[in-house]
Amino acid sequence: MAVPASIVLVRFREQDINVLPSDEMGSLNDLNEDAGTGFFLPPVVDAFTGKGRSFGEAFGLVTTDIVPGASLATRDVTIRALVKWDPSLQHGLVDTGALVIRGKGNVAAEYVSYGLELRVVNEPLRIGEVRFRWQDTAGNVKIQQGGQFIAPLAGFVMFTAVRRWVSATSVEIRYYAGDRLLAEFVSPDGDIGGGTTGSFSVGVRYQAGLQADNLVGVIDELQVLNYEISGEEIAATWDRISRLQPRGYKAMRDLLQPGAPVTNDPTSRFQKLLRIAGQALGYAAAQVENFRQNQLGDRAYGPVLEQWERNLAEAPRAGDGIDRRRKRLLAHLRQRAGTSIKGVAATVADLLALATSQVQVLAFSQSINDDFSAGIRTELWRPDPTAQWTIAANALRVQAANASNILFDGSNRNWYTFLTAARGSRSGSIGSANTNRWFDGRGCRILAKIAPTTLPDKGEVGVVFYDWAKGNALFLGLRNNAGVYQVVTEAFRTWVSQGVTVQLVSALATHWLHLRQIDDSAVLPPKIKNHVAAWSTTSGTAGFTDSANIQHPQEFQWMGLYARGFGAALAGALDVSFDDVKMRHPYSDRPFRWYVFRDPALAGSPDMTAAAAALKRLRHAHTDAKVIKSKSMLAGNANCLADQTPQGGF
Amino acid sequence: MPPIGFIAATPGFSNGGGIGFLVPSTAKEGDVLIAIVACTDTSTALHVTGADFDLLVRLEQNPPASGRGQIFVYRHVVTGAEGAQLNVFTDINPTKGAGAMLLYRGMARDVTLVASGTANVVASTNFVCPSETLVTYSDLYLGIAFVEAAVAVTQPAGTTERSDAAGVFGACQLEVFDLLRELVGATGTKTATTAGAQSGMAASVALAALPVLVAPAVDPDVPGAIGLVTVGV
Repeated sequence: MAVPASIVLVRFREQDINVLPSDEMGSLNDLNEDAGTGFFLPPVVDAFTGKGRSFGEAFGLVTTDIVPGASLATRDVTIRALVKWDPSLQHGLVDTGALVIRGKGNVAAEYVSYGLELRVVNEPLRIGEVRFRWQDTAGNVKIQQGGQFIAPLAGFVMFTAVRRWVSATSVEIRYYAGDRLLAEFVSPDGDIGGGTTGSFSVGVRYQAGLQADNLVGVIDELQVLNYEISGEEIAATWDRISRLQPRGYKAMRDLLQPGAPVTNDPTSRFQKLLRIAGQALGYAAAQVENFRQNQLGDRAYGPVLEQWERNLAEAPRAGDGIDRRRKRLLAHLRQRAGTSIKGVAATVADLLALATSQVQVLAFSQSINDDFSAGIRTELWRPDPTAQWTIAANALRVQAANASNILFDGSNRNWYTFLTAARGSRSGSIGSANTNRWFDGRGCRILAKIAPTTLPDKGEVGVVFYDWAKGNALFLGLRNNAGVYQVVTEAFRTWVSQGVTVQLVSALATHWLHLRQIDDSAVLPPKIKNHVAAWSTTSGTAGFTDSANIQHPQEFQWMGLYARGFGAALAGALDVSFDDVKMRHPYSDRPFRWYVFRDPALAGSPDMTAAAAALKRLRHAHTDAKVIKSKSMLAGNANCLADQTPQGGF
Repeated sequence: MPPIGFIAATPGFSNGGGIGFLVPSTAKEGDVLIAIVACTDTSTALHVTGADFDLLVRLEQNPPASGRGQIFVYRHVVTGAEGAQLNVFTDINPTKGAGAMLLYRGMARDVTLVASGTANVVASTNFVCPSETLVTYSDLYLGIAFVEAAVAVTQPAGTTERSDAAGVFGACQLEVFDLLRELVGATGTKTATTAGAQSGMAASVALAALPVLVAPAVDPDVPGAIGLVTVGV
């Protein structure tokens, strides 16, 4: 990226027409006529800063870069010119006059990367227009909408045209006359051409090798910058030129003793000396006035803005415009009401291009519920095999064909599972030989509604706590044992069954099964916890019967639903529905994570980086906060970011 | 400040009680949103309330045969504090209705409407939008063609299509185009066309721009001043 700088500054101070104009920035060779194309050196005339060049028919200047590419700008560019222009005189020749055109436009190396022209809109009303033009990388001419103005009857106008490149399809354009914003647009023409060896012409444009759009007017000074100038800087420059410098001269004159024997002739040497001192005084006053007006974050630009950003640790991203950078600073300074939802919304709303009411703050509890009305959420569940788990009538359905071998007996693990991660704890485990050790599954519980349509002999469905690494599993299920329906529990340790306990002889009916780990101070063998199985055929909230305590290893990484066979292959087809699953992970760190959700469906250009930085400042130290565009981590979704979007969904 | 610059357009959608429009993300304070709502129901059958808008003009055609209906042209000046959606409500669902909202910059915010006119169209491929007399060189001509069928509409030559929105209620189409002539006087009629003969309404409005600014200038008695600089302002 180019360093922001003035890349061309031509002052046209020559006293003689034959002295070629030069570029003070050293980017351009001396500007000259092009007799072959038919335009010649413009005459030297008096102008605002001293001398200028008077352009008209058959007058113009052209040159090339000393170092190829020095004057090329295919992204941000600002063009400023002090110009005396009369639309009536321009209309007498041609309605459009080129101020500056970088590139001749005929070949790729000469495609116009930027150009500024003045156009007569309505000559009787003296209405003119300043507008950009350039070519894209294919050479198509892109004439931009301009900013219109009433041309003054006399004097020099400072025209400033600002182009801020956002993307290949978006360019922000602003036009100023003096300190007045004439127009502000967003153009789709972000594909901008131009070559390093392109020409630089002033007061005329090349068209198919011929001269065109000759400017009729006086150019006093011309400057090209490769960055976006702010309105504040433009206003400060105009204030210096139009008010403070003349006042400086007046101040010098006013200092003279009344009646002093000095000439008042403005062309005299004495008055010119006073003028020099006065202009310098005005220049100094302008710098002070600029600092006074533009030092705070809402109006800062250039190095002052950069210093604000350093002090507040709000680093801009490449391509961020001045407006966005200021908004970030103000959001930083204005944040109040702390981490309250209101405070967070007030702080990030502007940054996320939202109304305060549109900001969604998401917080997790330790409970995860799923009624499957949203289908199978694969970011939360791991169905295995996927084909056997489907959604029917807003419930989860598992099916197995007649004679399927879905055995789980420790040695065989052909069962069907629908599992999710069991969240853990970071505190020490009671009774453990190792203190300060965290383990998954601490205090977890799962409750599910099971509605069997067909449950064949040798088939069982239910809920499970499962440690696949150590081979520990605790089952609570409904099985069909030779035509007798039983609620059973079975525990496996290192893949060895500890025996089946028939808790209830039941029926082929809807059951609610609830399996939980008791996290108390009971003195138990190391790394063992009491677990309780409970069942109900009434509802999910009533009619439960608890089993006796089941001692089982405390740690497990998976919990969820299953369908398995026992003893032999299934003696028929299995078809069972699960619904209203409720899980609780009392020791998970989910409550310590909170999110600000920016709905991508809402219009606007959010500054996600700044909002993330704001959350980092606002959050309590023991929490983690992120700005997200998706409430769940979904593979292949462009709105999802690793280490940011909630894994397992909200 | 002129010229009036078109920024974006959004189609209308059903908001449950009328037609809603999403505010374009590029809207800035001071911009003008022009919402056009058209329906085949006349004022005796249907009333429209522009909840978030100011009504610029209501145009109605009530011929004995087809080509009847109402066209509403609303204006909302962007304040920056509005929500993501602006709404127009109807007392009943239109039989056929459509909407489009256009975002302009540089449009006058107080007295916007210069002129308006309407005509009914019966079984024709030509939707002839009336001529309007522009008062100021910067006035914008907006042509509207409301077709009682879901068919594409082609804007007149020399104009720029800004919206060709499908109907929100029933099968219909709303075409909106504009023209910046930079001249005063009569614009002449502008004819939008459909592939096959259709019925509907054609309308036009002329909208005013903000006043053009005088460019401030410096006219020294004697040449000689510090001009553009590379350090400081």
